[in-house]
Amino acid sequence: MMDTRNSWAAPRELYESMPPRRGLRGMRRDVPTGRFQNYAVGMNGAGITDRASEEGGGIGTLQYEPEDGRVVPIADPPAPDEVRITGEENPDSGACGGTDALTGWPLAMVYAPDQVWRELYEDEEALSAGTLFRELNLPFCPGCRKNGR
Amino acid sequence: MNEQQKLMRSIQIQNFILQETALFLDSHPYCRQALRYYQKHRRMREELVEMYEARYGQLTIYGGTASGSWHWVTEPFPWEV
Repeated sequence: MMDTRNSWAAPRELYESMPPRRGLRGMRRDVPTGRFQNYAVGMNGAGITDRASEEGGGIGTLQYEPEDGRVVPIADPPAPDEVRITGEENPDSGACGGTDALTGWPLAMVYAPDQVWRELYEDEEALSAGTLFRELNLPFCPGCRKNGR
Repeated sequence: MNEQQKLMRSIQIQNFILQETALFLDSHPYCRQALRYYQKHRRMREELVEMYEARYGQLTIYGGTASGSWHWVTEPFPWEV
């Protein structure tokens, strides 16, 4: 049976083009959950695991397992039509957030790709740029193109 | 920028490079390229600090020679340069 909760994820063409992978069954296919789990385990010894449906085909439930033995379920994100945004009775509802494809996911879950030793600045340039690594020179410039222009 | 300020600037650059490299090595402690880079710049910094202290006095309370007088207070502090 098709789980309609899939329909909230975006973009649809992305997850539909991805073949189901062993071990990721039941996970939302638009999120690199394998790495997510690895990082979580590697960082603090606790784990975030996928309690996938044994029958297959369903969406599993993420759960967080701190070192103290507790099991803390992470709530499934609601489907778009189930999302209720606080304050949505206001005419500017949506302008205050809650409209992107990840609405409903726990906040502040991040990833950190492994940095590679490459593309170093020359000595003087490094101090001026505030980083030794060219690829970490990311001026904050909303709406601007790459390189801050 | 006078010679002393130039030398100070060069030391600051090396300090920054070592700090950045140390941060990288914290997460990649066996990266040979980064280790070689760190050693190279640590030597460069040492030479610059030696040169600075020989010419202008102590850069920290641990540096320079303390014979004759205590240069740390008799000379301008590094942040006054």
